[in-house]
Amino acid sequence: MADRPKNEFEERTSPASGEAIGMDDLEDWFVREVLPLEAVLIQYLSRGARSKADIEDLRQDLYERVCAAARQERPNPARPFVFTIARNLLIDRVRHEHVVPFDTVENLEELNIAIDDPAPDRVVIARQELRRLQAALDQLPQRQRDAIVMRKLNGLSIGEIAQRAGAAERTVKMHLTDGVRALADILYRGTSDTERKS
Amino acid sequence: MTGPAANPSQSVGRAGITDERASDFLIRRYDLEGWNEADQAELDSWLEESLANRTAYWRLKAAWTRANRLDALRPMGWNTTLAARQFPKLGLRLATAAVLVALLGSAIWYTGQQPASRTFATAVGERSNLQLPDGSRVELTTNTTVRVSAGAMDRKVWLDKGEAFFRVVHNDRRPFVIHALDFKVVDLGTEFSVRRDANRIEVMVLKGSVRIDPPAGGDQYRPVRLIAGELAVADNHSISVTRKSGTEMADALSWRSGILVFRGTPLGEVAAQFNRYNSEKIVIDDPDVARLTISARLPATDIDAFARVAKNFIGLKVERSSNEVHLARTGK
Repeated sequence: MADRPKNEFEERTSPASGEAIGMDDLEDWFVREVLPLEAVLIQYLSRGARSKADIEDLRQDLYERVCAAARQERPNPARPFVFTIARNLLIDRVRHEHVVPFDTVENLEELNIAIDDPAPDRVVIARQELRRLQAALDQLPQRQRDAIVMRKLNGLSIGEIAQRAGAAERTVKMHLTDGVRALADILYRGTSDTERKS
Repeated sequence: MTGPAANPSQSVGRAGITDERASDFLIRRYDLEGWNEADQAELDSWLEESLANRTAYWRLKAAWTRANRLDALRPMGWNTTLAARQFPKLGLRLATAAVLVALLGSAIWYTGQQPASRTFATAVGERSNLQLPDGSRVELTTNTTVRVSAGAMDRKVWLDKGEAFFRVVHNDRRPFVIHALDFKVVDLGTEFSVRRDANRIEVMVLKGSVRIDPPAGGDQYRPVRLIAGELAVADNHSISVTRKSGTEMADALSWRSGILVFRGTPLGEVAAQFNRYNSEKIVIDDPDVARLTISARLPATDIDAFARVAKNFIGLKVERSSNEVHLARTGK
């Protein structure tokens, strides 16, 4: 069965195995507790990174470790748990890859500052969220933004967008895939790659 | 098969590759067409591969799902002024709402007939972005009114009041013309701003070039062509063109992001700028105070921030009365 969901909220109901249910909970937890920390985490990880791509690799490793650990036991609160794993990740790198961060990783004080930062609001009222989204979309390159707006707001398919814009479907799809990655960066860090570079 | 396109502009690490793959799955998965069982199986097995793949997918999916909220914009738009009413103090840009309005309005444009003009306006303190279906963009600053009409043969904007920035998708066969006072500003492939006061206009060109056609009849000059980096001030009798540095132009256009930039600017002028954007007015009675200069970047609609700067950094006495902020020297 081709289980394309009618809308994007339904996906969760489609997978069936017992394992998948656990994964759904894990996904909820990850999105709710971990992703809002991303901006601070990136800042923290960047001290042990050699390049931009390296930061992203560390982020990926971190999320993987965090979720692997959280499958055993869901930590509460999540914040110190996540930062402890981040710190261990950096220490491991120093040991195994001789990446010497310009800031010492052992500096727990700084780590604590990060941990004590007030957590981002989790209860965002719809209007705030809407503004945030609008602001985020505003930061996207025009074509990516247009593609996302047409997809989301007007409910057009990739094919339909391509038709209207007189562009190839490949191109539209690329704008959407690039756009969603940039959107995630902006929403979770307040800035996208392209912005940070300039 | 539609693999993710590599982005040549930046080096991509392991995570970058994972993210590209995840975004490719995600966009296809939620497209309205063409997702099939085989695709689902491919996604499932990719997710099975590692938690790293899963977290990458979850992360992008969460962002993508958040964008569903844009739905809430649907009922807004037509009435009032482009949904920009609830413009927050620190100035988020509401381009998205405008994009929506433009898309909703696109039906009119696509019919190919000369439609009646549509009016868009911002109140004091508002800003608004219009996207026209041809891809051109018009950004309105505070207290600005434009009428827009697009036919098969031409595109016209009447700047009835205020200032706007234009990013025009140039089309030789469908000229884009701004009417301000009795002037015409003709796009020649470009980004530029047009500001209109009581009896003169200012045109600043960021990219490309424009042509200014003076009012027909009378004692005036011939059409003038402006290129990037030039600012023209034109009234019925004369036009002056000066060159601006990139910084000066960026300062002058900083309203596009809700910011006013001052560099050694006399307070009198600062007050005038702020007063364009706010219904609460800054009043400086003492000419000596008006001559004091200030360098700052301030949110255009944040009178409080300006008042704090005046008090704490310049040491002025700030008194607020009904809808006015009076600046004076202390001890007077």
